[in-house]
Amino acid sequence: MSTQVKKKRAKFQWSDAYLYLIPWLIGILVFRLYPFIEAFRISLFNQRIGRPTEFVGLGNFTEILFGDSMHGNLFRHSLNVTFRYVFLTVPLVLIFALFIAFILNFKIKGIGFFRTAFYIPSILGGSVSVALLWRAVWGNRGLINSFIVIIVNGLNFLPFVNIYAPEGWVPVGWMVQGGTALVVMAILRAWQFGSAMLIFLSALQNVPATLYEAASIDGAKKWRQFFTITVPIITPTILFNGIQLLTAAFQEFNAAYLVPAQPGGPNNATLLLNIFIYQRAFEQNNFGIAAAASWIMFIIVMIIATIVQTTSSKWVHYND
Amino acid sequence: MKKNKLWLLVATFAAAFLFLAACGDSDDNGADDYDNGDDTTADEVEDNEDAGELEGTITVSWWGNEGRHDATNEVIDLFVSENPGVTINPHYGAWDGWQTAFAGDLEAGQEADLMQVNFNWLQLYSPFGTTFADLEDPAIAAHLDLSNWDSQYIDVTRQSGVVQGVPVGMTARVPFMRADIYEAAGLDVQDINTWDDLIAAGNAIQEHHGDSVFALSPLGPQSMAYMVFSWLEQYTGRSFVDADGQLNYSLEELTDGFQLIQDFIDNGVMPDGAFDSDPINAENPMWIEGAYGGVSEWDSSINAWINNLGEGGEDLVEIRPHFTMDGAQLSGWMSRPSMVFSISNNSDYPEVAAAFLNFMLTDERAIEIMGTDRGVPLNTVGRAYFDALGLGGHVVAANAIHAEAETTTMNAIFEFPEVREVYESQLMEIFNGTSTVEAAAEFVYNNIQAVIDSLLD
Repeated sequence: MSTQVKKKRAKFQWSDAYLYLIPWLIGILVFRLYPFIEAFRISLFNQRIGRPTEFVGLGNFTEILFGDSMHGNLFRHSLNVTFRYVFLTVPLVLIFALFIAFILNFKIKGIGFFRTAFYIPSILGGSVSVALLWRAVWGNRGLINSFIVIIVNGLNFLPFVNIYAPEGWVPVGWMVQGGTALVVMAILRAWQFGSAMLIFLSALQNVPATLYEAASIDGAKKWRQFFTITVPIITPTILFNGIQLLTAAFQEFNAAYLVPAQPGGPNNATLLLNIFIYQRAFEQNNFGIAAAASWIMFIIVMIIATIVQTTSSKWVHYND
Repeated sequence: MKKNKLWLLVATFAAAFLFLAACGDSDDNGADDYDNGDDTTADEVEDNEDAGELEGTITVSWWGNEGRHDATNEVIDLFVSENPGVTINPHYGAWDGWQTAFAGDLEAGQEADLMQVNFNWLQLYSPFGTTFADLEDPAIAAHLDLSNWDSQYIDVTRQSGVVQGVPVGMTARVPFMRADIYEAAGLDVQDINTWDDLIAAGNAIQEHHGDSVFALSPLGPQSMAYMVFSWLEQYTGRSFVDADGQLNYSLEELTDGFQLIQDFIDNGVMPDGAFDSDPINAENPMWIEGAYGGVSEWDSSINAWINNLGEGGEDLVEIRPHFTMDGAQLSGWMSRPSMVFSISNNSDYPEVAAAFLNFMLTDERAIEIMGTDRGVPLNTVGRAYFDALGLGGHVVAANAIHAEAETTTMNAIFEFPEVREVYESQLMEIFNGTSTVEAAAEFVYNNIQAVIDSLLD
């Protein structure tokens, strides 16, 4: 191929690329970059609908980070709740998704059905129907407590007919006690592990079978094969899923808004950062505080993601 | 090549910039966005108005249930049929999430021309009377007759002296009691008048029905606050804040008031937070199954609770006056506008919005169509038509019971979200058993004034 033809083709590809990128560029400029910068601008102001906008510099940041006001106390509380939620949820989903993907990677009968069945909860997302389902499962008179009642009372007791708990038995308040409400939220997220599972499944299918064969010949048991062959090879996928889940968990909103009887309840036990931000902005008309909290959340996620990414060179193994 | 790339980049940024500019705040972006292609000029509209004809396209927004949606749409059709130059785009939905969308629209200057708003939103979104149109503006007042309202009701919507809306009705929380649950326990709901009667009834009901039945439903944070501050009004003769926005109660008084909730929990009037994991609303399973002997609810909302009791539900529920105490210094009834209608400051056709509002709230046919879907009308003309219809039911009876009582009009500060957050969080702590009455009262006493001050700044 002559140099001229090569140049022509390269020129053509460049302009094509930009043309195809335009819709995406407009999208990211309008729906990501602009709100992102605008949120930072708002965070520097005391901005409320119907009131004169007042420049406060970093006042909103210092108020929620160090202030003794309701905003400050609740923000720090919600930060605490969010961290607990993230560190509960991310490992739970990673382990669960990997475990199920590992099982679904075996050649067993009806595997297609099981793969679909395990993915279905992810399709449901954070909808109202899922919230109702979760209440039906974890409510005071829900499925879990009904099983407990059956175990406590024996099979003679019919939990779905009797509307009140049997005498002397106090239902476990999974969703009405601060200690367990956040765990219920985390389990909901873990239940929707389908996307992470599919990505793991795809990675597992790319592990060369010859490695397992060689390990088997050397006498390595299945669990040893899993930890010494499978896990190291899929570490790039673990990293990808981990960061994806981390950012998603920090941004969780629907579950904490829809599942408890009161958003963020009981007693703010599930007051995730996004609920705090939502309440400040849309219920209290305090956009400055909400924007500052959003930016702090962004900085935290960025720092954690950077740390994970940076340290990944020590534990992630790429083929090349 | 370089030129091509540059051109494409410039075009991309220009397109994005134009898009953002179109989305951003502007002073004249209100009704235009909802226009149905009507290109009538403002001058033409004025000419037509002189001839007695209205022209323009407006959007009307409200939240509510199906009944309210159907009735309002019917009134819109009626108005439009009589004003062929007018187009009205209805925008409605359920309450859940409404405030979020409303605040977003308001922030973007995209709000409807005529809006149903919550009473406390006037203070929240328009503390200086600048967010909504001044309804005393001559152009609006020519189409909306404010003299139909007693001036005290117009005054409650004033922000910095500017009338920001008209109240549709007045509402208060009313006790609705299930007579069957009380009767089975040997009680007559007609005898439950005082807080002490209620507490005694809670014990009697539990003695008869067991620990899983209560005199009232769990009250929820807003309803608990209503009870506590109502009790405090009766006890002290003072409202929540004084004219200068200063908290009107001492720490000791607040502690006594908060003790009421603990007494309710300890005496079977209502359960604690661990008992019921479902939201406390008209769909609550325990309410439907008969575990709760009553609710304290806004008068205009009771039908949903009764309807969910099924056939005969109406006969089970009795309306009672608010609980009181011996030597009460005030009635304890705290009333407020059930809802308010405001006109957008960005509207191109505020006179059309005003005319439709006037029609909806004062026209005889509109009143008949609306029935009790927006409660009992407050304005004198609408009320006269409403009375002539002879409508009955719990909403009307409940409205009558507090309309006849001496009520105090709730200060908007009481319902301001940041103020509510202070006292409701502490009431919920008592409800959930995670704080003592003393600690909760002390928290409110120490924190609420700073929040009020920041809002009145």
